[in-house]
Amino acid sequence: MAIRTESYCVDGEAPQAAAALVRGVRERFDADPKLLFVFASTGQPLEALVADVRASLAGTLVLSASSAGEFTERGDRKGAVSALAIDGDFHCSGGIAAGLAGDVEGAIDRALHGQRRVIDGYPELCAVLLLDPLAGHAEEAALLLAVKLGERARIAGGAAGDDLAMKRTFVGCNEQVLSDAAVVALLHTRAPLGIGVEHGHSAFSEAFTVTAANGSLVEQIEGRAAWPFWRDAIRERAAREGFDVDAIAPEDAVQLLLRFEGGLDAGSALKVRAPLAIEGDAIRFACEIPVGARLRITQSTRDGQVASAVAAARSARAQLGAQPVAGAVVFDCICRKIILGDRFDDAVRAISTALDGAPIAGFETYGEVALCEGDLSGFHNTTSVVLAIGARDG
Amino acid sequence: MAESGHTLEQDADGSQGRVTRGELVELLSAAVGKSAAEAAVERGCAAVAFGAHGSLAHAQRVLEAVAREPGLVGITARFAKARLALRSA
Repeated sequence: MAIRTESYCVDGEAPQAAAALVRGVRERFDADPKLLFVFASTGQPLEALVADVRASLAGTLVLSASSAGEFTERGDRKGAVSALAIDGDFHCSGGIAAGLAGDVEGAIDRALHGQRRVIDGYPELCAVLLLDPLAGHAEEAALLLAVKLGERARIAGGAAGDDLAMKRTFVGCNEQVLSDAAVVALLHTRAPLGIGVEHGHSAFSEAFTVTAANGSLVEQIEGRAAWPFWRDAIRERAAREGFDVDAIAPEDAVQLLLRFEGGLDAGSALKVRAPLAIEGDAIRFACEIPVGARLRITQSTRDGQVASAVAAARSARAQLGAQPVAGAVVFDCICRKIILGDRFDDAVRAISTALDGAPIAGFETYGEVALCEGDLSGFHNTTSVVLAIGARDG
Repeated sequence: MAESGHTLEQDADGSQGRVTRGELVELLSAAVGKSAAEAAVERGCAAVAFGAHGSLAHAQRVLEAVAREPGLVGITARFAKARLALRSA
């Protein structure tokens, strides 16, 4: 028995979108599919949307996140709902817990509670982690989940969005939709899933030191207030892109911040860390930036963004080996859309081509999760994370 | 992630393998950055009298010391301890 997926993109108000999604699922599946990923814009409040979906698909595990943009293999859409239904020979379970900001380990423990770690006959385990990045503990959540899953840990996922409002994001497991929360789902399959991750950024500034920080809030860089420092460092390049950093209001600065992200000196590589918001003269990141960290400012080109998206898809595809691709979930950083503009559709279609045209559904995230064997970090920014599912005929 | 090799010599405490400070820094750097990793390893090594290199068991004690620190550094050390154990398995 194979694994099969179908992708959907619907719009309208939450009740209409939910009805259209359910109708689409019913047309293509004889029974409730085992698993449904749902990613929704702020135009379809997640709680209302998922409640209506679950009322009709009570047998389906629904994992959801609010989004900053939605897409399928057919292209990019805004203000919509993208979804991937998956059915076939695999097992899945899910849990959700709030309190990520105050007790990240407790939240991960509660979200994982009661889920089977081993299922006979299904030796491959992949966890999906969806989380609220505004809680500020995304890297911690990914690493703790890996500690708790043990040496078999392979994790993919993403940080929810809210159409660049940076006010409140949501994740959901079935009817439960929460902020300041994490969703952990465990997928047990007979053959491995493929997880590909790539970013297309490179540093252009010299390295500077974070001299004061409070968790994910960077307060001072090189002894100066963080935002004025950052603003000075990006002024010239931002002007070339049409931004006047001195005239931009903090609430409008997110588009600027997501073009000029932080690169953490991580030894042999640069670890990109996304600034998400300006708070006074401080900058809020999606995870803790330790005092003493050395940061450089990064930027990417349009070509670099497309190339890295394709590379992530090819990497995920390769891990499936000889299996045909059943489908994929794509967690794609919102910065890619900002940088690519009207070329974002090219990147989506290129991902689809690299996955042999299989159904894909994805959303634009405020951060991505990928952690496989040998990896030493689980939270990423400016990347595409592609979770590819093999069909495994027979 | 490339393997950082270490020889599997038997040490006085019965554990195998020698781990350098550099390898400990490498284990933490990807998540917290190199400078924070270096500082954390320095503190951890001082806490358990770890020199330039030591046995696997001694290296694990460094990471245990760092794991007691709050926030991302401590959590990363817990994760790194598990990764270090896997490398030597």
